[in-house]
Amino acid sequence: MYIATALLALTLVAHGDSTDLFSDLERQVGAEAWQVLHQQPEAQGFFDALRQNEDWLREVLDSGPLLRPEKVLGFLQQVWNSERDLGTRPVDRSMATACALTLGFTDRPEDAVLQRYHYYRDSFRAGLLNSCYGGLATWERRFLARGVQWGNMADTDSLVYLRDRICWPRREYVSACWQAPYRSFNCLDDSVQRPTYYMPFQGSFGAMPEMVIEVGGVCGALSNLGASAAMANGIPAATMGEPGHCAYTVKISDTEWKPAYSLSWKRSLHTNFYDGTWQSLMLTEACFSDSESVARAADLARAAHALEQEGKLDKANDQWAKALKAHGLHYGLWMAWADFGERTAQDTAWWARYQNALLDGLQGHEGPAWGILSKRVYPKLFAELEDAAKLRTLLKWIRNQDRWGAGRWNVEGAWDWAFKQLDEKSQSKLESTLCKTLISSPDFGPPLVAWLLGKHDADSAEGKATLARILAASSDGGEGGSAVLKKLARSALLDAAARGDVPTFQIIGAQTARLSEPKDMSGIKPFPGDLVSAGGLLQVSGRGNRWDTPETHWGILGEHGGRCHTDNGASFIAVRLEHHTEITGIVIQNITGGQAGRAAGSRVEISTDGETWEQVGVLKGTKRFYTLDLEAKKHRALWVRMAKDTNCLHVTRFLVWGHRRS
Amino acid sequence: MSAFFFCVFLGIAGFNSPVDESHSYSAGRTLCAEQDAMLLVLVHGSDWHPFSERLFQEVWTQEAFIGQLGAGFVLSDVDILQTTDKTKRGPNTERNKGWEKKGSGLRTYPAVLAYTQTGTLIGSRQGRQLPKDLAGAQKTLAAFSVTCLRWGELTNAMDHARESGEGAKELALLIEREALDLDPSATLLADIKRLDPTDTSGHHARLSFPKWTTFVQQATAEAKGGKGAEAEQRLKAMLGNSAYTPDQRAVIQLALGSSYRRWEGHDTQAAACFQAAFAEAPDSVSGQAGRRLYLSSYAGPSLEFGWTKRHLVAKNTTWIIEDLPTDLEAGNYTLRLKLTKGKALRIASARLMIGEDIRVHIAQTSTLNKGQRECVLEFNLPEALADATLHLLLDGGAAGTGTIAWARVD
Repeated sequence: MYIATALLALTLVAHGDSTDLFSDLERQVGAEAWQVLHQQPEAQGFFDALRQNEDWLREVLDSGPLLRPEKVLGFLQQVWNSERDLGTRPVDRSMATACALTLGFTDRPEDAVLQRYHYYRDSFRAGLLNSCYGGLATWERRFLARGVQWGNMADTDSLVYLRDRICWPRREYVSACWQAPYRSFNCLDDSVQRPTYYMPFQGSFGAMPEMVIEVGGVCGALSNLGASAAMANGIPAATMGEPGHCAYTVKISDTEWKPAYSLSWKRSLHTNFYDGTWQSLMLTEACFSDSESVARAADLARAAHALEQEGKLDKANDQWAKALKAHGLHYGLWMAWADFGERTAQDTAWWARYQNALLDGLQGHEGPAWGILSKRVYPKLFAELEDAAKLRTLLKWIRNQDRWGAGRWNVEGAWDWAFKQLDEKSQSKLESTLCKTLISSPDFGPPLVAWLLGKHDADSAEGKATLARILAASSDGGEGGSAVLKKLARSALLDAAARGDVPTFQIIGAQTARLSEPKDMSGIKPFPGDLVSAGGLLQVSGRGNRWDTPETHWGILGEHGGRCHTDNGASFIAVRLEHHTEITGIVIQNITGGQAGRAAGSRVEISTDGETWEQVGVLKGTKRFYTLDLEAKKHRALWVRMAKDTNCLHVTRFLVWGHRRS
Repeated sequence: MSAFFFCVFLGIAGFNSPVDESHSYSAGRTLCAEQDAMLLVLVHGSDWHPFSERLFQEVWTQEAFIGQLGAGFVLSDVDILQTTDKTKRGPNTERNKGWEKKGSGLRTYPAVLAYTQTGTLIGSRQGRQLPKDLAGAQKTLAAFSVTCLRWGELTNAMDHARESGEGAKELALLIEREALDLDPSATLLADIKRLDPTDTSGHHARLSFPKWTTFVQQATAEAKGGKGAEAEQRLKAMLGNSAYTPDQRAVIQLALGSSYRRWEGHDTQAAACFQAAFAEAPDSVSGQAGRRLYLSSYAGPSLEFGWTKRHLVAKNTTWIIEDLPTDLEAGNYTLRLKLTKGKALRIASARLMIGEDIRVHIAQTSTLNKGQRECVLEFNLPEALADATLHLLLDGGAAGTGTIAWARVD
């Protein structure tokens, strides 16, 4: 064992890489702090062990941002002092390093972080973690080291409780949140918004998650519970905020992060390396899952730093370009190159070249790319540009857009920002170009339409002009306002529905509903709770079939009423509710006429994720109204659908009532 | 990568080869019926959970363990894989046929579930009930099998008693079986009703008691809905029934206190019920909830919650602190008061009392204000005290908040 270690060390020293890495670490720590660290007891042994271990150095340097490196090294030194073989135990070493990096990132007490390291070390040794834990890279372990948003849901007692209480196959953790009951008011009728909700029960349970499972909670508690359960079992996860809601995500395989208990694409992750958006997580995954490219690019960046220190700025700049060419997905290095640009006071031509390189390097990750452009690049460029030149710069960005890439992002915010940079004339040109370029994009078209419609009152002159502009961009022209709305429904509305984009579906749907008169609600008796279908979206199988009228889809979900028609053959009509809901009842209003019999025999199914369905009823016979009373069943769902394998389906209303559970 | 570490882990473990094949679930069910035996099922995850796999390899299939269980059991296992690769899952899916997770009693992995010959769940060992070391787990499972055998004996004895018309004996056996650390029988309440229609034994009342949160929530909702009197009548009647355990009585008191709390003009009754909940079962969740609700909302200032704006601060007011440690040894103590909000608080004197009896008296005037937010009173106890309360006589002040800490000095 010792001989093998010594040989490994000799090989690394001969290779020379670890020396460069070690020097870079020293640079990042700074001379003064470096000296202080070396004055600690047993410091020499620790730094020797680190210097001779390239893998360990890369784990420290190349696993995402390294902040407060002196604190990071101080922690590792402390662990190494009590575990001298740490460097030779790759799993524990990587976890200790992840914990150290977290300590540099947050103000969490060192004792708590050390306890977390011990928890993972001991649980792994005892074989109590999911086997994926052994193969995690250090950057993935940083999610475990950071823990969930609620600290008391991730202390050692909580982790032990969750490890034993919710130990499941990896993919199942997306439903772990439902181990606790959703209760806005506790059994004493105290609101979850007040501290008295948990106060009477504090200290009566061994750990916070146990209390939440017994007493209840709402989205914050449930999401922290679900994410912490995954983490307690060694599976990367993170809690995340959404508008008015809290959700979480779990890494359900070696490559896939899955949102859990999520309602919206507008997510803000509580554990993130650069910024909290979902797209940033996707970019982090894409970047760090390619460890060879990360190492290659980081080595080139280290060389750039060294050249800069020697005053060779042009060569340093070339080296940065090579680093980002080697791995264009490395957000951290893009930021570091921008830092270089600012430090060395580069001119607008440099920033223009940077923009081109960035758009190329972060292709497919438009959200994060926009973040760098708007915060770092455009402020430099626009300070010295006329409006026409600004517009040309922005158009370059717009024409680069094609698909969401790593997922829906706040492109509307980007358009708003871009507009604010321009005078009225240029704004008009930008709007026109946006329409021409993006209106037919299945990804950007629907939000663009919704964004444009939201800018002006539909009946105002500006609103009519906007509609005309949308029409001109989306068709061969010559049609009236109704035709535009129909066209929108057949493209943008269906695209939004297909992508589960509820706000966009609602905005466009409400506009298109102006084309039809509201239908009579008599004969429909509401169930307890809210009409949760009304704020959701509708998916109909057989998109584009000749019998369907998408402009009346929105009305089906609420009082307005509408009509939809699937294609021939196996069919479904699915409603994505506005919230996770405990369903109390469903009313499906059939069409009238000779084809009303087609609904008979349809299965009524529910789902929490739109993928796995559970049958909760059957539509029996041919009726005007099919009513399913589900109040006693307490079914929880985000999706409800009717499905049949033999013929097409059509309905006038698909109404779902229930109590919100998110 | 994950698979590599998993293999290394198992390699280090150095388990012995199994001596006996564990049956598939369906084969196990068939054998149980043939042999009139109970079915023990280990649910594990061979490709994702190292400990459960070691439990399978090093305990479940080892002669020593099987010998410990003795006759009367058929052992089977269900291996739930994590991989999504259909080719890899195929053989397992085939082997697990007949197993349904829903309704199986499985909550977490690994789990050992015991079923009757007809497939009824008897009980399980999983989660915190199954130690996470092999020796501990083996010992627990051996004890579990003994409990299951006892369940079988009691069930047989109940059958005989039923056939011979010995109702009282059948009831006694049923209650003894229910006391085993296993799952409750689905027909338990119906059986008790049949054997003791008027519930003279109180078993029905005790064993049908709902989950505490449900019980408290229902009573609270009743009061909130304007039916406080009905809730009061119902809950008081329950308190008059001696069938309930102390923990259950604490739940009833908590529920009653909660309905009074939501019933205007009943604060005094609410406070008394919360105190009573604590007195009934001090260590239970409901007892502790009662104590905390009483201290935080109705009692004088306390060590746990300090003082708040609802506490009077007028001259000659006496604050009675009720949550001192029950037993105080002889020695020196400090009482530290800290003003966190408010303008001032003046303390004229402090006394440690048992009932009406003054044991220690300190006539020390202390003033807390914005310039001096903290004061410390020192107590010397020449002898040990039990169930003492602390009385602070105030010399006036302004409404505010603060903390109170009691500590042994030496």
